[in-house]
Parts: sequence; C-alpha cells; structure tokens
Amino acid sequence: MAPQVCGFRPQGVHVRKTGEALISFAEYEALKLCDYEQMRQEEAAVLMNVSRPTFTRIYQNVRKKIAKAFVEGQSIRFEEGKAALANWYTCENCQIIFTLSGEGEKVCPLCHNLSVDINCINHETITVR
Amino acid sequence: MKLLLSADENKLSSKLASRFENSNWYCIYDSDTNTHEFIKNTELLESNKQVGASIILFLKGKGIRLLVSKRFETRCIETFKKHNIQLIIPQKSKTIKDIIYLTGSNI
Repeated sequence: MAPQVCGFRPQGVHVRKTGEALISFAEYEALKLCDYEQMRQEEAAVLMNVSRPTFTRIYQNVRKKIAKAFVEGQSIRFEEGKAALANWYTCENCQIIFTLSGEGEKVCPLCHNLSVDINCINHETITVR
Repeated sequence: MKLLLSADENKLSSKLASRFENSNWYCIYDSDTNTHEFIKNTELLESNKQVGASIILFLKGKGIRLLVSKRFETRCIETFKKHNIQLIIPQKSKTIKDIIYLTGSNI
C-alpha cells in the first residue's frame, strides 16, 4: 500500500547539498513487507507477484538507498509511480483508506462519514466536512 | 450496497486475506438485506476460466461496487478504477465481521 507520508528530511543539514533518495512504490512495499511486517522474502515476492530474484533485487536496492541517505544526510522522497493510479482517502472513523468511484462524492463508503482526508502521497491535504 | 471481501476462511470471524487476487475465499455482503455468502476462489475463477476479466464480469453481474482486502496488486488497482469499483483497505487488522459492523449493520 502507498506510504502515509511523502518522505523524510534529515536534521541539521542543507538537503540541497546532499541531494535526495527517491524510493519507488515497489521499493517501499518490499521494505514494508520484509523489515516492517517481518515476512520472508519468498512470501513477500508472492504478495508482490514478482519472482524471488526480482524481489531480492528490489529489496537490496531500497536498503542501499536508505543506507546512503542515512550516511550522506540525504532526504528521502517516495515517488508516486503507480500509486498515483488512484487517489486514496482516509476515514479516521473506520480506520480505513479507500478510493473513490469515478467522480463520486468524497464520503466514506462504509460509515458515510464526510470528514475524510486525502492520502499524503498526493501531496495535498483536503478535509471535506 | 454490496461488498466483496477477501477472506482466509469461510466464516465471519475470518481475517481479511493478505491479497485480494489470490485469497482462498470471498464474502459477498449485502447491506440492504443484511445477508452474506461465502464463495471459494476456485468457483469464481472456474466460472470463466480467466483471471482479471472474469472478476470484473462477476462483480458487475452481482452488482458489487466495493472491494475490501488488506492489499490489492498495483495492476488490479488500475483495472478496478477504470470500472469505477471502489477499493477499501483497513489500516488495522480486521475480520469480516468488523468490516460489516462498520456499515452500521448488526450481523
């Protein structure tokens, strides 16, 4: 699933000098499945519908990028990539994220709550009341 | 309103399946009649012998516009969006019954 934040910035450095690390959606997902959810690489590869060697390559790539960002003081930014396929909205009442149906009203499909927020991956925050 | 929820088992206490596309079971819940039924994934796939297109046809035939799962494959998100099918992903672990309760129904 798409990250809930747009990225991270190091403290105490000028990021212009150190640059930024771009993490793709697939790389974020690989890291989340293995390092956060503690899945084995075989399981994670199945979930992401890629071969095990491909998954390993993605996983090693993202860990290398993050290590470089930590050591060199780079900021980290999540690329939208295919995550931009759908605008995801959050309903705090139901604790769900959801997509809209076409140009449908911005309302939670389960509890019909109108107070929903757009996911940060879209780089803006809208609260509909 | 009809929902299709991916499930590990064919019971209301089952957790949502880790991935929508290859879950063992699907639960169809109709909030208008407060009824539900479980179908095995093989039944869904065997009805048209194809994955992807068969799911879309099945959903449209049943009038289902809402899918609930812990995860959807990226390529499927694009397909579902094209057919105006809404996707729901809980931010915390929930069972089939938990999701149904959120609709305001008491099953």
